Amino acid sequence: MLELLLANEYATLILVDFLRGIYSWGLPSTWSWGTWCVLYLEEFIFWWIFPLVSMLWWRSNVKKHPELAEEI
Amino acid sequence: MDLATGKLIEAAIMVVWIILILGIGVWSRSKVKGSGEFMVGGRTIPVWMLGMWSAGASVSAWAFFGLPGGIYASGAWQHWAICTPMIIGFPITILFLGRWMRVSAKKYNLMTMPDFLGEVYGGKWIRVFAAIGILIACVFYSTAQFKAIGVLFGALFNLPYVAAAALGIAISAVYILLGGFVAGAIINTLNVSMMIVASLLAVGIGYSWTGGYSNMMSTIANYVYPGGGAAPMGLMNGAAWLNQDYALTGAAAGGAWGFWISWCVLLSSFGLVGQAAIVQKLYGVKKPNSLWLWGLLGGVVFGLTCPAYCYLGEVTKYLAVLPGSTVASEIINLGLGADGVIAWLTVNKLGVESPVLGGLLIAGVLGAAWSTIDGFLMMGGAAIARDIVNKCFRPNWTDKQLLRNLRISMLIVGAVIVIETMFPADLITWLAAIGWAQFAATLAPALLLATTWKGVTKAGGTAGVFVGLVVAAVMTLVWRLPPSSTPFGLGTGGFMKTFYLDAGAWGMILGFITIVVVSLATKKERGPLYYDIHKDVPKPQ
Repeated sequence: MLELLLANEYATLILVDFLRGIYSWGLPSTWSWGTWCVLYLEEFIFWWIFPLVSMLWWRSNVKKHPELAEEI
Repeated sequence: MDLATGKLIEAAIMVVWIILILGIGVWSRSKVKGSGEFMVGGRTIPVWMLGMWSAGASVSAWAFFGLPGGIYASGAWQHWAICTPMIIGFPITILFLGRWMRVSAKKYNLMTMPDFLGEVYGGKWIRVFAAIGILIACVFYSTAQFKAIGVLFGALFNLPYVAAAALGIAISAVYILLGGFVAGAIINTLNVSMMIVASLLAVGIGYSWTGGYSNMMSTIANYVYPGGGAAPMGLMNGAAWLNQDYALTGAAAGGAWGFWISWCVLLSSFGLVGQAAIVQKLYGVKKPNSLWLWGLLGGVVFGLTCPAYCYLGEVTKYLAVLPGSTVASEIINLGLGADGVIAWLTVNKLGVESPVLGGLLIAGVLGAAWSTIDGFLMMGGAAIARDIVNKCFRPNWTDKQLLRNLRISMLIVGAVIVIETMFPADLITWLAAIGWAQFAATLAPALLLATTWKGVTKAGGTAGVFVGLVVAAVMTLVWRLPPSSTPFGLGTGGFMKTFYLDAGAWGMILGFITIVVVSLATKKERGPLYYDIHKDVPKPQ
């Protein structure tokens, strides 16, 4: 399972490989569609989804309650 | 193309880049009227510029220089263990701390992290302890940056290491001493733009050299060192290179989970809250309602750049294990250890094959180093002149005196860092890790609890900062020594095997516990900003 982490930042490169017809990730563990899906999901949660969702939530919250962003 | 011509082209690119940076520094001098403009740009800087500067300060030379070397030499684990969780540190900072830092900045004239702690918890000792922690961390972290600059400049301009490192500090000292925060914001927007370009180029080059990610990893995974015995640097067997436990703690031991807790859970993510060089820039944001963009931009820029340079470490490992390759011996012959990886890749390899790309990659690395160094010079100078002397012992300084003394203190900090650069030091990646962990242990617990727990007290906060500072510093200094010179052989690897957590993680955990325990047991005395944050707690008359 930890091998997923070894490749997690490079899921996009694995996708490029896939688009070139190379169905593998090069690590000793067996590669499968499920593996790739878990890998990609994990990468997106860590690298993109959390910052995007949390900061857009913060923005909408401040729009609803503008007093939160006023100088005290 | 021959190497000499390639190096000349790369050097010319760097000279143009340096002239541009120094020109902006000189121009920005006219914008500095007082300590407010010098330290926080008069709180008028657009958030996107500060988001880029903060991301650049977080990536720094450890990610662009130290991590590729560490990954090449000892295994692929470093990029996920350190890089991945750091991206969420930016939004975490905004969610827990950023709003209060910025909206209270004008009322309390906040410019530094000890300022914030002093106004929330009250008293001067929390400022003093926080400032000492910042100074210790600054020296280690900045030394990592100067090592990177010294190695690259030395390789590029054929300069001795110390002279090259001194040239690096001179450049950043000139622009930041002249133009302060304004110069830093403009220059680092350029630096980080260069880092992004360089990172995208790095991925493209690496992919074309290796024939794809799958081919690269399978080639490395199947590699077995043919020589027998201990493999030289860069020629570790593929199976060991991919084995996280082996890389972290030795062949038979288990302990990767300790590193996971230390760095992923504590130091990289929540620990980013305590990185003064990154977070202090929030004081300069023009509009408090735009802070969300800082959190998002910081995370995205970090996520684009840091993994790209880590990838170069993997690419170099691939090039080293190809049949008949002489890459490993070429890197060893540079005499720089694992720190020679990026120097070899950018100067020796790209200098011959594609010097323009090599020059851009070098500019990216140096931009990352400068974007961190200037923040450390400002922060280290402020820790001495403002946080300790001005705020605690000389409150009657005029603004002109403060500005002059800030500049003098920054020069002193710069001189100390240059002196330390002359001593034989650890690898860049470990120097930076020590600095990062010291910041996190000293500042993060008190900062996080200041805005989230109404039970904090002056004594609790002061004790927590002191414990975090001392635990991280002592453990770092004692336990990172070689096993032969430490009690019970607990130096370096022995420490990790026995206690699992990094010194900074111990400092952070004990700092949290100390604040809670001491706060529960002591008088409910706090600073004025505490009552603005926790409005439901009645202010004592």
